[in-house]
Amino acid sequence: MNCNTVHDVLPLYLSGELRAEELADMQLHLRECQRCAAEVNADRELDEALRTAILEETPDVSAVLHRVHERKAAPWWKQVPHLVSAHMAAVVAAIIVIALISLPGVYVHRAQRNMALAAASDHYSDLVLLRHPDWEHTPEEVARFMQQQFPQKQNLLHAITPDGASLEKVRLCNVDGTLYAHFVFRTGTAETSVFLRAIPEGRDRYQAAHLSDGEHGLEVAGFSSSGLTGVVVGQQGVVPTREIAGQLTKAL
Amino acid sequence: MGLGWTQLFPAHELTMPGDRKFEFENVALPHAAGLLRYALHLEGQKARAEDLVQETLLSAWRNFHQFERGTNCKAWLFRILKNLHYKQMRRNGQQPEVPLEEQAPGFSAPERISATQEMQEAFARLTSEHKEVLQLAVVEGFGVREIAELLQVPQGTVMSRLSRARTSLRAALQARAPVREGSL
Repeated sequence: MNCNTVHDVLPLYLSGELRAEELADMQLHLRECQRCAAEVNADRELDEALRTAILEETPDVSAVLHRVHERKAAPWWKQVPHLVSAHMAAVVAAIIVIALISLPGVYVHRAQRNMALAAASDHYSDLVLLRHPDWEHTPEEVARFMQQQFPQKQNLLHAITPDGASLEKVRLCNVDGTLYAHFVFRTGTAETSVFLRAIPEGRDRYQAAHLSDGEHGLEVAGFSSSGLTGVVVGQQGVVPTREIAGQLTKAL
Repeated sequence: MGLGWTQLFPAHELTMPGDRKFEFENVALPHAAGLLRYALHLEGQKARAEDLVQETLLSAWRNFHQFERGTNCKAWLFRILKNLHYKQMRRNGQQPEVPLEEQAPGFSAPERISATQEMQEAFARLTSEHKEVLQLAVVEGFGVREIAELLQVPQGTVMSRLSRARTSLRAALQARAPVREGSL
């Protein structure tokens, strides 16, 4: 190590950050070079004098510590930093307002999803597991059912029958806490479920959402029209639920 | 005798070893004085510096679970303080304040002053950059690597800045040419 190197690494030497090998070289040079040793000593003395001078005028921190302690002990809403700007506060307020405005939509969307999954589960339960025997099969039973459940809707059954399909059976079922008429239509070997209920105008209308129920290998498509809403359920990749839902929206 | 920790906080609020509050008060709060010294350098005004230290300590308290035990708590606190200061400046559209003495390094008439006062005045005449590195290295005891990380500059920059700062301080002390107490 020479004098120039010593000068370069002096800050690291004074802060005790030199590696062992460099430190040994430095100490060796300082023993041999009086000029560098004097420079190091002068810097050390300067640092010590500066440290003393600065520490002597350090202000009292007890007031700050008292304030910190009070804020720490305060309820969380009083611990919100004072440094939050008006700009940030406006952004936070806007986010809260948007969240509040969109909450009903989120709720409806979630309710729709829950209903769709419940309908898929019901379709599986009714048509695969055959758990419910209370179906209406004959034309007379179906006509009576339609009259009881949809008295104001003439020709509804015809309107909801998918192209090329025929009604197999219908029953009243509870889907996610709400009563629906569960129509089962057959096209060849494929069965399509249409869950339908009457609704007051403008309420609980299902969007044209499309969900896959991977657990049961089913897919679900929602639909709604004036005074009616529901979902179409069928085997994934076999029953075109989305197209049928679209047709129902137009037909009803 | 200065205030101790038990005197700063009421007895019923004292905590026991092992809990988070105890650890914070023993690991973080002792650095409050150093934080205030650095905040004074950054802010220039005592009231603003105190506010900055208060927010630094509260932020540290809220995020104390993120602090890794065994690492340098002082460096962690100084980083929080520096970040809060930058945020404030950006929010207010401010540039770093330049103290008046840097714009016009005046030299008052010789007077009777102590060596400590002489040093304080010489230090006050340094540039903001030089004061900052000297304060962090010499007074607060940070290493070159820690200062480089705090100031977001290369280590070589810190080292050269420290060398120049010591040279400037020495020059400022010589230029002051004071009449020291007891020298007459």
